[in-house]
Amino acid sequence: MEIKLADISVDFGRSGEQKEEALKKVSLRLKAGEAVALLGPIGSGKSTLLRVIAGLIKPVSGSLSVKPPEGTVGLSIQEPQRGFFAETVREEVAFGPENQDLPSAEVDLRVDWALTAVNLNPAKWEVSPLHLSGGEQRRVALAATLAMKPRFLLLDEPTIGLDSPGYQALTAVLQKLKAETDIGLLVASHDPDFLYALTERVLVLVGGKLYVDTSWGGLAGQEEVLASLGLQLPFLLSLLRRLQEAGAPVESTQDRIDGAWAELSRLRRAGKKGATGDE
Amino acid sequence: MERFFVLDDVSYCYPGTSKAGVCQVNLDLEPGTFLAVLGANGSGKSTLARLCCGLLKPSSGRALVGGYATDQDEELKYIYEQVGIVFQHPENQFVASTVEREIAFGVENRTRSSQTIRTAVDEALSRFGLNALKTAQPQSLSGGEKRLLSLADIWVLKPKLIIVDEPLAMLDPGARKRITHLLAELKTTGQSLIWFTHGIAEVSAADRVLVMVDGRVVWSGTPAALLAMPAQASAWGITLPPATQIAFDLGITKRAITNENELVSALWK
Amino acid sequence: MNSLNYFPADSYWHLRDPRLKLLVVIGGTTLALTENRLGGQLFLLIVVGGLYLSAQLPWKRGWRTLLTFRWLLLITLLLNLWTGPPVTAFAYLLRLSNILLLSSWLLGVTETLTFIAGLELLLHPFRRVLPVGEIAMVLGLALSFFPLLLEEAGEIMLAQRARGVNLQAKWSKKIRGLLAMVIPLFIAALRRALAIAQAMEARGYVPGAPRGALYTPQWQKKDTLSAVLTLLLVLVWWGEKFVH
Repeated sequence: MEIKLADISVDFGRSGEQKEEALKKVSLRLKAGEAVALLGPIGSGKSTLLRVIAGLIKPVSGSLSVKPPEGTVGLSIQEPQRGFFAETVREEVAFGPENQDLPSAEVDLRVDWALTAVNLNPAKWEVSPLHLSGGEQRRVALAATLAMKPRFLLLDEPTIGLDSPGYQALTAVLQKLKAETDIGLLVASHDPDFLYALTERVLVLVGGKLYVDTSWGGLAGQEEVLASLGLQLPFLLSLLRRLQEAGAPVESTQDRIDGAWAELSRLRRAGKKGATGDE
Repeated sequence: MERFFVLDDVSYCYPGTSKAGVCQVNLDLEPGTFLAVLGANGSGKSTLARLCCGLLKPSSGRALVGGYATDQDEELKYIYEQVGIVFQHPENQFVASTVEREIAFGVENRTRSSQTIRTAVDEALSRFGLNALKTAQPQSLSGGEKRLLSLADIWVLKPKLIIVDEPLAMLDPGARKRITHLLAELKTTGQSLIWFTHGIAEVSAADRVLVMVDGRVVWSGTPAALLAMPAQASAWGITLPPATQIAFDLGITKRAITNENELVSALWK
Repeated sequence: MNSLNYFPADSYWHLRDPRLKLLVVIGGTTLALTENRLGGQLFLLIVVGGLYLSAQLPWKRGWRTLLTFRWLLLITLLLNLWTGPPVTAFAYLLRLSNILLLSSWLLGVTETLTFIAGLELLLHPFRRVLPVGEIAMVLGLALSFFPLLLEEAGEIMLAQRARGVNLQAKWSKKIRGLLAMVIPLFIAALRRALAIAQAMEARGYVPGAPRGALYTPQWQKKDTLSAVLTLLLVLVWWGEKFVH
């Protein structure tokens, strides 16, 4: 299953006060099971692109030449806890599957699965979602989307406002989800480190235009382009480049974060053996 | 001599809910100090911020600003004159339809002289580089501009103490640098700054750091000292600079790593 | 183009004190309400047209205004045709139209905050009976609040649509769907209200206390002139009615 966009343009114009994010002829292709990053500064059109893919906004021109079937795309908006309205976490998560007209036994199964997948302490399943911490609320919102069993999961700036524990918890949940299901992921964020931890492919969107569509390894070679767009490489990739420049024997296993870690660990051990190191 | 800003065994409990309160916090701030209060979300930071400026009254203990107590209603207006607070979501504090009227709001509450108001507003517009946006609508500004405006709103009242709660949230790197620089400059005019956040990196220029966990202050010291204890800082839920986090994860413990260059040297000489 | 928004231009009327413009509209509305003859209302319509012209407001704006209230106008006309002679019915139709057009004119030539400032100044004599300053402040706040809430509503609606909310569905689903839109909006509005109240208090706002203003409407000679002319027009009009 895949999604294909051809030359999508969206132009809201100045509707009074709000600056809307436009899109200028964006084309891309997403396959089920792929994990793709959408990297761009805040306000660069990422939200708009996700909404077009989810079918919530109609583009001014261009088309979804391959449309995902109804109900296969799940979108989690920025600060999704704004949409909370139910009395308990369970009810909140059940809302999506209920709207899909599923029998209540199936709904319960889905809710249990989703809340377990996001690692939420069962003791908190019957409390009001408004009483949870920010990080927990994020995960509940994610569960609410997951419970609809989408084939593609679109996340809009999922880490905004999260502190370190919340960030790590969310990353762990998404990594596990990726490993255990064949869900397609499209994550939009301005945080390259978060994206690097979850994806293999990265699209750079700035000012509504798609500049780059490549692997992380490919992106590492475009540091100057990124800088000119106001963006940075993930810290790990930047670190490896600096090490390479300093003469360290860095191999280019950088497309995935595991590879980067392996490289660093290897260098660390080599440095230790070198005796002039700090250990 | 009177102590400028004091929290004396201050506690606050939110009635009814399980929201983090604040427990027995003691604090004594010299004028012209930059204090950072670090803690994970839910550690009581925002509550403490509100206790510091009089928006919340302590359930026990006293908060004193320039000798005035926050639990005395009659004294609150003097406290408001000396403390300015900038909240996490600037768009939730804008009251006017244009940038200049927004800045004017606080000054209008203090004086009836149009001339004084005009001068103060122009000064703030200059200082924060908002002249070109004088007649723009606050809600239509970019994230960085909104943050600048919310700071200008407070600065124009020349408070002795400025409190900021997560001032860099949702800003791009360019705006973050600009705001950090502006805030650090406050010291030069003798103003004190209390910066509430969960990341050490942005407050590395602070004179002193307090760490909060579950409503209590569990540690006090300098930013450098905290960076030298990454395991403990992590356990407290504090976000370390990436270089420090990676150094810690790789097991580099001999010395404190605070930036990329130090990490490169540590890994490869 | 919204027929009830401020229309930026540099006309004579744009530069006038908001109190004067309010007076003009009050004068015009009074005439509209006391004039029963079709001919009189037609003449008033021409005067209103003159106001639009001298304010550089496009005719389309007037048309749009009437369109916005078409149901109200239609019902008025039909009711009156049913209960009286056609001439009176059309006179009443024009009366309503004139009032609506005058309001749209006022909103077109006065910026909202200036309008509120003008309103506050006019109500000043009543300050012992009404909390005039606070009314003005609340009106101003509501005006900046409203677009924010609209935007939030849009976001919430989008989010709930992504969760499968379909307002065309059957009753039980429809109600749940509406709750899913209304409750979060309510919470957001309350949160914002609390945040604004706290921010205002912390910046020294005391409801009812005297405040300064960055811009105060300045009454000029031209305003006096226009006020006198308006008053004359109203007096002559009434005088003319009594003679007949």
